[in-house]
Amino acid sequence: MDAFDALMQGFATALQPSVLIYGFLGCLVGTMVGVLPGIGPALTIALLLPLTFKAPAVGMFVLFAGIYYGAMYGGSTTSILLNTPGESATVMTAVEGNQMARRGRGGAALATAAIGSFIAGTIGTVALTFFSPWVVEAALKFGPAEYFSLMVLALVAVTAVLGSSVLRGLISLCAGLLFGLAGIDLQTGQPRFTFGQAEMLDGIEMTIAVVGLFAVGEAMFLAWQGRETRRHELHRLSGKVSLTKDDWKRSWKPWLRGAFIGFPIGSMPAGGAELPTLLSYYTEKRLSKHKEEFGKGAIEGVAGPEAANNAAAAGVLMPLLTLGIPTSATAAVILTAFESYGLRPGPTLFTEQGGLVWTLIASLYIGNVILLILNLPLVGLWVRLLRIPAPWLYAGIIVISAAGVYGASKSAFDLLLLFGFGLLGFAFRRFDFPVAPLIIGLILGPMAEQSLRQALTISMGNYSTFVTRPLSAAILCIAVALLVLPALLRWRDRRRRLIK
Amino acid sequence: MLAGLLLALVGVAAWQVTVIPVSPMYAEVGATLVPAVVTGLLGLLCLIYAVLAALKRVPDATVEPGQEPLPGSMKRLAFFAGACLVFTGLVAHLGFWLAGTLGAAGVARAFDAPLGLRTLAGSAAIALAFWALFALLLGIDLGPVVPGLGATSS
Repeated sequence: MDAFDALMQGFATALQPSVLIYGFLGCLVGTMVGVLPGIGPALTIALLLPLTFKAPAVGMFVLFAGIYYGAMYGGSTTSILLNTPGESATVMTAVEGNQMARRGRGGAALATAAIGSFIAGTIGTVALTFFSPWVVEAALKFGPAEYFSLMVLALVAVTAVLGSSVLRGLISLCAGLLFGLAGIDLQTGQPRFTFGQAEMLDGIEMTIAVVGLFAVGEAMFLAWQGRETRRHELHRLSGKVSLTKDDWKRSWKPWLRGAFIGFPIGSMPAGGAELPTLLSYYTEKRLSKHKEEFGKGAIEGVAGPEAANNAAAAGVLMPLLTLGIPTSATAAVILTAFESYGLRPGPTLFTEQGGLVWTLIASLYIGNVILLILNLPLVGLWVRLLRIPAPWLYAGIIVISAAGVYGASKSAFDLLLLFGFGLLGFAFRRFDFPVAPLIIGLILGPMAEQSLRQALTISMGNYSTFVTRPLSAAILCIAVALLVLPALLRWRDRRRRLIK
Repeated sequence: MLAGLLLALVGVAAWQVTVIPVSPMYAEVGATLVPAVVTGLLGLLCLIYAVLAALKRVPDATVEPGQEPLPGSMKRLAFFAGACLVFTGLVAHLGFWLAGTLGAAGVARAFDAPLGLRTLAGSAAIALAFWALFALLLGIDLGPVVPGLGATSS
């Protein structure tokens, strides 16, 4: 069965009312969390993980996909009207979009963001549909050595790109790897990093770590800052939420360029959604006939980055579904959801759970349409969300976080762990350490160790297996280059400046 | 200060690596190898961080301009931490609603909500709403709403 037939079967399932309702709910909740600053899709999906005990897998993944895409749409509203990016991927939208809102063109900014998100999201999903089977075919040839090297590449790449310093990123990653190793070693049965606590034998629950780091940590940081109760000025939505002929003319090329920048970068191990939005913004700035408007509210500066972040969101799903490698915090949480259903993302997922995967991909197309319909008419409702007083918003977030964790185990130890991770998240935020490498290290650490052990067992303890197998060696070379090249380039620049 | 704390944590991790029992089972790669390598790597990175911090090459405490905490930050943090501890300590004894109310009130206070009946009532409504959502609608076991009242769902 080729990709198109499989996709059509996916549509048949995704369009059933019982599944469609999950997609609709996901889009609604996703837009809501995208609008609210400080709450992202990773946290929301993590909070909803306890539902995986009750709800069917298809419904939950359609819900999560809706949340993921919805957050990308919703983030633009906050950026444009509040000048506060709801999502890190909408930082560039805040630069130009808020300037447009100040000049009475908020409606046009929201419209180009929504239409661009729809077009690029759809292009990204088409690319995901037709490229995934190729990646799966290649990945089926991977052995444990190649998988280990690929995980090393993913870990290194995420660390090198996220955050303001590679050193801090690497410290965060190593801390995540250590947390991931806690509990009983499945191969030898020996307890590791348990501090003699029986509760630690099962290891650290991913949900607890994610909710603690994102929800509790972020709320604690905002409470410490004390600025959340004095929020930025909210601009009244002015102008019709539609585009003029000139706006269309100036937007369509940035939408397409954004989509073609966003998808490939999003699907790379460290691509994420932040890098393509930056790249798209600077590309538009370079190519625009209205360079003088940049920084003062250029519509191209909203259209391009918004398209890029939605296409990148589809791209991030490709390594997750085809290789089982999460390249962002949200993807890591979705991976945990797969695991809680006893499913293992990777090439075999397409053969063993083809129905589920293609329904998920079909739901992304449907989600894009739902979001386009939802986003523009309901913009007034999203704006009203921003008026929820901070004390009630964050009290609610902490109560729901505690309920999610307590409901899973009814254990005070797990609550302590939750708040402990919250404290760690606060410290990371306070001292500018990136959290995503920690989460990805936590989830990829045990998987990488397992691949390492399998590879060494097959090679009878010969460590050269990682460099003598051509594919594995090539992947490791890329990982080393990613670590070393930025430092070398910086050193070269510094030397040049000194010589000058 | 931060670098010192990080090095202390590496010390704790190294101690935990030394207490991993030796397995009687044969394995090509034992249970200790990966934890030891990662701990060693973390130690090295923290050492580099400490040296750079001592040379003032990395700021030990980064706060972007305009993002500094407003006065009263430690008090707000204390309310927040207190709320978390109160909830953890009391939830098994007072039930989710009462412990959740106290926890939510503490967090609201950390965000400058005034101490008073209105804050308490709002917190009680939030805790009750989430108990109902999780326990009644989603069927997740949070225990009775208050001890002896309300069925425990399963």
